[in-house]
Amino acid sequence: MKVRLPYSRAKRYLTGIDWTILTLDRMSRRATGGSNDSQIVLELQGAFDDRRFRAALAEFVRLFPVLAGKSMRDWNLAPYWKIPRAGHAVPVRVESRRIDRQDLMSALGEFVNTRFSSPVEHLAFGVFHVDDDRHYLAMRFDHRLFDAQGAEAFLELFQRWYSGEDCRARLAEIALTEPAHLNDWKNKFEAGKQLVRMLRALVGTPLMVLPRPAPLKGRTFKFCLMEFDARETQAITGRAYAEAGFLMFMPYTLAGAIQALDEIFKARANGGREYLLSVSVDLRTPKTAASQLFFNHLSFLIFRIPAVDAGDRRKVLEAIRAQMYEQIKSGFPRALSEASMLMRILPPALLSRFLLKPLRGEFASLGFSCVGKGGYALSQFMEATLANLFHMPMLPVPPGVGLVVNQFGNRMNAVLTSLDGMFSEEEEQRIQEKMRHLL
Amino acid sequence: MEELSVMEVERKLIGEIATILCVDPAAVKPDVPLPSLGLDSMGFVELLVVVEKVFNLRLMDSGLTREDFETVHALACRINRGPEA
Repeated sequence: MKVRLPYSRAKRYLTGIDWTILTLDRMSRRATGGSNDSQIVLELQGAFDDRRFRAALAEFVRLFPVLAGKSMRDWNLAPYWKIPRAGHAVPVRVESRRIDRQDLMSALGEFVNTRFSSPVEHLAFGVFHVDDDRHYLAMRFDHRLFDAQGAEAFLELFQRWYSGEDCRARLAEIALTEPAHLNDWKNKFEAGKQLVRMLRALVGTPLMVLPRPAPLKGRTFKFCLMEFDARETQAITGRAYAEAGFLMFMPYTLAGAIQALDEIFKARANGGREYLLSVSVDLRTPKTAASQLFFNHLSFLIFRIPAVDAGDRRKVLEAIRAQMYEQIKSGFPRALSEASMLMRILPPALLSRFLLKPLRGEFASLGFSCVGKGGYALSQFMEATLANLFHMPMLPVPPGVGLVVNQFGNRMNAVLTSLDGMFSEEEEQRIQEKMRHLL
Repeated sequence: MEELSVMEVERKLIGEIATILCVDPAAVKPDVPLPSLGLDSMGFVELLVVVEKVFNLRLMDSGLTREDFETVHALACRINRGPEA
């Protein structure tokens, strides 16, 4: 018989993946002083009223005291997110300013690199007006509270609520609490064994890693946005299906990312023989997406590509496809999620050492994420038309470099994130040209 | 493996896809393109793993052509044909 411990509505026990994300946040803070935040950007066409947005947002966030929570540890040693009582003030800053279009990425970069001003502030908005008809709305969020899909779904819920839709059922569906998962230990230890086997296989591998710029303290992230219009996206999808196979969009774009960066890695990564790629994958299903709005519902796939093969598209694609198949067949992403529950006992400082030990202080060559369609499925935001949507995640340090691809409607975006100084402007330009050429 | 008709394969596939997507099997129609059911690369590979387990047929190494995988019906026909040289 399974015994379920009663749990409070004021506590959201953190899952192992939530705890891992919190640990990555601490790792980044220790390395650069910045946090592991992310940002979602909406490109808006038409009129956008700042004052109306601020008023609506202030009212909307009051529905979610969880946005003003903080992490703590319970008497049973399980970490949890303390959710303030209903009616608790939720601090959400909104900044607004006019910019020139050519300054967009630096303005957005500056915004995401700004740290939250208090430990209970996890959300901030920046409204950047290019002219009266074009605006960019950035939602900076604490990755401990949202992942990419959750952040999109949060904005979509705001829009539904703002446009007067009856959202009571949607709001009631959102799962704010989570049990402590202090049961089913056999499964967790079995999953743990699988994870340890995977980590052992990585020991001793000379990784391809880019030297990080010094000094790291105080270093911010830079972002390069590559936008692909509907025609280009359709052509990329066609090539992905033809070369990598039907629905193999993620493996195809990942292969493109490795190949676009290969030349720079080979010129600068000392003695590495293998790329190790950490790819975040969403574990939500269409049924659970509505309830899993807050916190992290993802896991990882790990790919190893011999550096010597990186120039050969066929070999890279074959390696990615084969490893993806084997990892999914062995249940690795869910095993990782289950095994990480065991790691919650470790304080972040110890857990980060455990995560970095097998690879001698490294984590991966590159972080990669392919955010699926549909997190934000509406065509409007406030009264404006939504022209595009993309993500600008800060990344854990190490590795401090990565790429996120997302599709919005019939368009695609790729954003290269790197520690400022990791690439010269000329290198950034070359990476972008290569990505366009390779995809 | 016992010989199954395309319809029987379809029925099994619908059940498996519904499990992967956590949806009601009635929502999975044989002629609807798989992407519009919500399958992405990850879900699609999960489906290929299920096909190997249930039908003893490893399709990951096949060409993964759109014609063979676009819909549940197309996939059922492909499974029904069995391994191809």
